[in-house]
Amino acid sequence: MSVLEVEDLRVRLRTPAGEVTIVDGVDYEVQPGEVFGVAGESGSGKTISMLALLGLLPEGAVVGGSARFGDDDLLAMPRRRLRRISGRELAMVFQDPYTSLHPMLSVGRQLTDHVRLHLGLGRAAAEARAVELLEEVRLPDPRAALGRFPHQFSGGMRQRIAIAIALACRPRLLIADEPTTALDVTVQAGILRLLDRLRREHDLAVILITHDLGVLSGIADRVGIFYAGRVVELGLRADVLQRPRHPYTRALIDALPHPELTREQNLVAIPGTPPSPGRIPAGCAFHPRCPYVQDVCVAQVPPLDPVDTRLLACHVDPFAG
Amino acid sequence: MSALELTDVVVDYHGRDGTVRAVAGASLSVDRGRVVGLVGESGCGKSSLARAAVGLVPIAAGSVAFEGRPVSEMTRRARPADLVRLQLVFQNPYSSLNPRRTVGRQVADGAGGSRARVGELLELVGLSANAAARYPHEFSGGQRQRIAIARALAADPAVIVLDEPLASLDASAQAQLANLLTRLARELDLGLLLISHDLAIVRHVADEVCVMYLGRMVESGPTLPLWQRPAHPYSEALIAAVPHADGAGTLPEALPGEVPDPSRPPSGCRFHPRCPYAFDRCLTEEPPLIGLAGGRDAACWLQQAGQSAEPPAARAANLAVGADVE
Repeated sequence: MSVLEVEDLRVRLRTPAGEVTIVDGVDYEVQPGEVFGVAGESGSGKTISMLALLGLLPEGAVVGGSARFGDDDLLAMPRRRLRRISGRELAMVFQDPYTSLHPMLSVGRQLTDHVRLHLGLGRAAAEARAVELLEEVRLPDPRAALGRFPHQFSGGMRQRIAIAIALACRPRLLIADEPTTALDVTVQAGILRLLDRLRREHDLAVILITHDLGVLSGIADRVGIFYAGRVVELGLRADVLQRPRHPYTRALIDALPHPELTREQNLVAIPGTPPSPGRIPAGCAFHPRCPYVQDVCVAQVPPLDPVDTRLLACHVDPFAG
Repeated sequence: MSALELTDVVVDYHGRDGTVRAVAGASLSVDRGRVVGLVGESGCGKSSLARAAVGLVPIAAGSVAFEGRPVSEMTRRARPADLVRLQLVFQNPYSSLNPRRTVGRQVADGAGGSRARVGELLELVGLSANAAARYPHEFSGGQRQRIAIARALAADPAVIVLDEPLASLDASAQAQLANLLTRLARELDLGLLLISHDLAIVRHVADEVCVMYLGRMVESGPTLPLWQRPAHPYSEALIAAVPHADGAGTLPEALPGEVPDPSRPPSGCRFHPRCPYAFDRCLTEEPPLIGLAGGRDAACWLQQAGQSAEPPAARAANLAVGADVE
């Protein structure tokens, strides 16, 4: 059974320019032990769609659709209950662990406070659990780490601490939003390996949001490509990355430097820029940048339909067969 | 003589807790028309070296020369005229562009105020000439970076030092900017020193790569041979950690440990605590940067002067040293 089932998720945010649609009907589900990768350029709605699940959207946001998590609908439950679930059964880590770690409290205090609050452990049991968690994320010398403060750790170690806190209550779902974007590649590889081990050992479901398809390539089981608030392609990692069917997915992959390319060959940039919310083109939102555009693309939003073993939202499907 | 030449540069930062040596004797040179990539993990000293190259931080020892003249530390006074042709572009163009002045006026600062020249420069970086009337916030991150480059080009530079110009951009914007940099180097005979932690882009754009670790250059050479057969175990680890979007499901290799505190560098080879091939000598003696065949240099006891670069693992197995040997 799925850990999470999102159906027709819609988010509208209030901006100085009026109310704008950020997420426009998104469906996906995540299985236990699975890494579901979410990719897309900045402004594609990938982060907002996750914040919506946790009730972390700014004041005035309008959310529609459903997000079934166990027996609950995350989008319909009272705020207080959502707060109890999030951080416990469903946890999130961010790009910059500084935003989720308190700068003035020791690592030990933050970890023990968290497990005492959510699990009702006593002081000694909470401390033992804290050490166990830091060992779990392979932080060197966990006992000494308890007395230190976030700024005394490197970016990679801070991210490990943030993951330890997220794991404290043995969540079923971890949402990781660009968790390695600010890190060196050497450290990034370590965090990806950590996430991979955690999902295998604990059957943890992970939603990994990133703009870097390379990051997804090593770890994601399935990949969803977001564009302008919608999913345009969703399928198995190898299908989507090796045989992309949507012109946008194809363009994202072609823009990356790869070892076979010589210096004399230019990288293939996608013409234009991603649309800003509130100015989403009619029809297929990608049509102004798409080399395969036809009349129907301008007129109608393509539905996300099953095609072979994947879901695809493209009228033209130029890479079929 | 190279357009920009850094020789045995040392950069120290003095703080309350003593002195930290961010760059501990590093050399590199940038010729006109060439793109030199400078890579390494955060804390390796690459940004400090870049800043020293343009005189933004003082050097404690060594020398920095631009077109044969020493680059002096920048003061509040105007730069000497001959140094204006050495330009710097920062990572975040939002903090280096003035939000309250039009793009045209900011580019014109370096172009002697000529409106025609401003339009030309904007078109050179792939923007339209009428971008001049608009303000920085009206542009995307990638476009703002191009504005920053247009402004640097206004001074008719011989060399531009770019500190992480591609960070925080989407893949497509990165591709556009990478193409622009290669084109500018060729068309304007411009030397570029490109500091980046994105190794895949550096591999594509740079003619030569310099790899820095804890304040020292550990390897340098022409990009492709270095990539295909890294001579230094650190370069090897960096390259192995780069993820590929091939959908194959292989996780990149992690390099255990972290860049050590530069105020207390390890004995011997600075990389030895993280090196899978370290043997006795590496713990006590620091390997010098030696010349290998094919215009390459590496600072590793596993390589032999004048010989071709050998894969560290193979060489370590031959010598029967290191942790990987069975």
